[in-house]
Amino acid sequence: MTQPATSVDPSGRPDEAVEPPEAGTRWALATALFDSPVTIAAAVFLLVILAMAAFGEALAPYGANEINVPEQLQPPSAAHLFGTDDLGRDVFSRVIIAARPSVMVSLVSVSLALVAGVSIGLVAGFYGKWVDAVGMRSMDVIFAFPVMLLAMAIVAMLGPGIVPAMLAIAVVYTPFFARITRASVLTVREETYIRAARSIGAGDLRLLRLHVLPNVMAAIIVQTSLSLAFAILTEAALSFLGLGVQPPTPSWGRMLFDGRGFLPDAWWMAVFPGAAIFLTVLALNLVGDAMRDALDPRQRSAIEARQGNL
Amino acid sequence: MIRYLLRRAVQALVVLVGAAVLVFFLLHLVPGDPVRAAMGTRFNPEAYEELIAAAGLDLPLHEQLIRYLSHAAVGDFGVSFRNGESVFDLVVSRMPATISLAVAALVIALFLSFPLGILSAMRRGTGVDHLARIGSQIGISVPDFWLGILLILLLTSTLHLLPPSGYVPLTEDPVEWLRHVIMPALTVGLISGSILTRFIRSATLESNDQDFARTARAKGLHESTVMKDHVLRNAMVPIITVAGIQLASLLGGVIVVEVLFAWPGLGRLVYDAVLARDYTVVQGAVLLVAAIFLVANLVVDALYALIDPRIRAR
Amino acid sequence: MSALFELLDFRVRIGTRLGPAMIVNGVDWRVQAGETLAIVGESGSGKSMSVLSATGLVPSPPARFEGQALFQGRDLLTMEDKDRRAVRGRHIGFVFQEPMTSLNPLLTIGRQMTEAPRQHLGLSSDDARQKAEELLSLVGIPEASRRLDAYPHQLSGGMRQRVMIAMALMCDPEVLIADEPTTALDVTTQAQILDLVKRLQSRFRMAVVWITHDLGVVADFADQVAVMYAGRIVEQAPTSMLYGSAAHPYTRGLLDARPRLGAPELELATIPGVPPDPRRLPQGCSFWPRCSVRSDPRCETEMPPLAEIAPGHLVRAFYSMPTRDDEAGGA
Repeated sequence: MTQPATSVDPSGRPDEAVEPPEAGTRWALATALFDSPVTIAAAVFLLVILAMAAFGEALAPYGANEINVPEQLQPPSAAHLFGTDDLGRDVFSRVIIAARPSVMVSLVSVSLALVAGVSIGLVAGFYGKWVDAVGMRSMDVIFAFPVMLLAMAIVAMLGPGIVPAMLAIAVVYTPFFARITRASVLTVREETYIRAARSIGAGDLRLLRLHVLPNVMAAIIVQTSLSLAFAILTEAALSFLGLGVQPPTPSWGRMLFDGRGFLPDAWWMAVFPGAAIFLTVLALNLVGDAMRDALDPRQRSAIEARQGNL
Repeated sequence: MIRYLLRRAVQALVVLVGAAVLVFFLLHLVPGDPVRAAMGTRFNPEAYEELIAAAGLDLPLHEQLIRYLSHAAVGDFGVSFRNGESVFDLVVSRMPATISLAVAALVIALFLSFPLGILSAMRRGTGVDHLARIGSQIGISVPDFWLGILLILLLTSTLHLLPPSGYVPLTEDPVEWLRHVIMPALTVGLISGSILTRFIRSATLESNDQDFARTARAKGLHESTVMKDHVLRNAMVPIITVAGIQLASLLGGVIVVEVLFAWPGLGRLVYDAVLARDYTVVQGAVLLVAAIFLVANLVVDALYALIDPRIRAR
Repeated sequence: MSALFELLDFRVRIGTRLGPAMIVNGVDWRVQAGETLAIVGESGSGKSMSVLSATGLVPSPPARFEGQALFQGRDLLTMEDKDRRAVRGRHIGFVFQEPMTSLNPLLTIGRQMTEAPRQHLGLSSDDARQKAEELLSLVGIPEASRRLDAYPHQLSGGMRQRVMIAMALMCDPEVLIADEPTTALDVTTQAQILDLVKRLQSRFRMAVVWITHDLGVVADFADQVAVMYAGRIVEQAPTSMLYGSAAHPYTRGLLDARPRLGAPELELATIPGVPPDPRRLPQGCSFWPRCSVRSDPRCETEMPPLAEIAPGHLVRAFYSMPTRDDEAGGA
């Protein structure tokens, strides 16, 4: 762009000779995060959760399984911020330490879903025809089941536990990544520069890596953040049903399962862990939304509606 | 339009068969002997042999698959290992409860989301918009079982207004049904409503950005006419699709809420079967729910075709 | 004689994330009944924005307007929304670029055509339908009555544009505004539509404002041509004067860039560079960075005013290019 050395903006103030910022996606994503105080707060909160997941035992005042029956079912107090449960364990400490399994399950399962889904989507979108048909029909088969139902069925077959829960969630979320990736690939594939590159013999793998993947990245990143949020909800639901993380490992969902029997008197047993789930998911959704708004305000699609089914 | 629907029906059928195969293989992932496990302490060798033969579990795998698929095609999903009841009958008996809950929840969701979503879009950036956006953001982040617990704490424990669980069929006693369905329906409906609010808002905004909306305004039509006949009318197409999908997934997906409120629906059936290792029930119920889901999606497609003349022509 | 529709020092400012942008930066023009004004410019020159904003089709906020947009002496910008809507619907007809998306896919042609006259003229549905049928025939659509019950997707692009034109005429407007109406059509259809509008104009004695990026399109149709660049008019003249003796370097560049039949050119002439970012306009003449003339030291630091170099011929430059006649004589 041939611009003169100085420019004057319309209100009359002279500007520095500054190049406008790169309108690239990475920049857009990064700026989106720091746009509003709410998003910053959400990002900070997520860091706190991560810290809890990593250093839970060090941060918590008591142990996760420090049984102290005489102190059982105490309401929140100075000594026990969130009260104690039926075995006298400090709920506050348990909530902190229980961050780990939730975070781990969602990170692992979404990573698995990402790798599997993106691969399938890339291949299906790029090669098309029957590869596409087979790939996407398989995804449709998974889509044919409500999320929770399929997850439960998989866990039912494999037995309850943290690993089956991870696998179940990974399977259930793979189609989302596959669809998004495929859609991006389809739009990029028709770009002239891809055709040009292909015509001079550029290898497929190279094309995929250098051209297709970066363009798809943006959508994948947004999808990841949203999937993480729903993965936490799904894992918590599975644990609430007794099918996810098993004791003695504390998990938020499981704490709700335990706390349910002590309603309404010891309400703190269920309310605080639930709040932890809620706030974490909320933070993830806020961050994901901010990123999505930065990239494309029109991405609210049936995918979101579907993802939210219970 | 017929051609379009036929095509979609065939696609759905292919997916359904795929789903059946998937469900079939799930059963064979189970470690150990499911029949023995399901029988538990009531184990006796004769009944065991009978069940094995009846379920065809002594046949080679590919023959089992064919047998399974051909039986399923005629509605035979086997029997429960626990009590010998036909899986199909069990599922059918639970459907009214799930349907009444799903419909009640959707009504609440629509009541909430339509005005909020549309208003939010029309008054973009104002207080109403921000309130709606914050509210729906909260609504989609809240775990359904936690929301249910909070509602129980409020409406049962504190205000003593509603029973915390249980079910009375609508046909038996509408008032009691209502008293029992409100909390679970609210739990599901508030969350579902939040999803819909966000979608309705964005669909309306997108429709408003279209060229035909500009043409309508260029013609100097009243703003209310522009919104009613042009913007909202077009936004309805994707909105109805999404609402339909929501209902479809509600039909089979409210497991957690059914468990929390002891609502004897399909979700609860699957859950109890999972706990009891009653695998044929799990298998059959899951597959039937998938079938319902696919059929519901087809119905949504038909509705879509009805509204949009462009599809009708195909 | 006061003009039918005129813009006076019209400006449009939009706040963006990176600062305010002057999309339209002081535009003046006028049309009389029966006259055609062509507004020509690149994407981003402000040609569409000026007209759409003036008629109230650009939401404000976020856009802000200054100046006046007078229709029959009344300023559209200071009117109440409902009055502006009444003027717009009743007296101004619009034809937009994309006939595919400019019509509501869910309503029949007849319904869309009769909406406006029923509201503005109080016509009954039968009378409105009758009028729609007449206009459809007038614009060259056969079996008009049947078409009224058709949906937009059932018509071809060219037919849809004719429908748009007919629709714009339903309330007997005094002004027809056409925003790149033929850009999305093939060349043959383009010619037909142009021809149609010409005939309709002379029949109804309408003023026509035709916005386009293609200088060639309006050569034998427009009475006046205004060339816009970076939110300002850089040259304005009666058509023959503009094509024959264009004085602004930008106009010359546009004229030279047209491919000509029979000319043995190996490369199409282009104007190097791109239009400036409206958020950071250069200090002097907006065209200076791309100008190949730059004859006056003032060009770089001062915005040249619009000067009348010949009766009816306005140019925004400190230096006038030699006219074609001069060149032919001199070279």
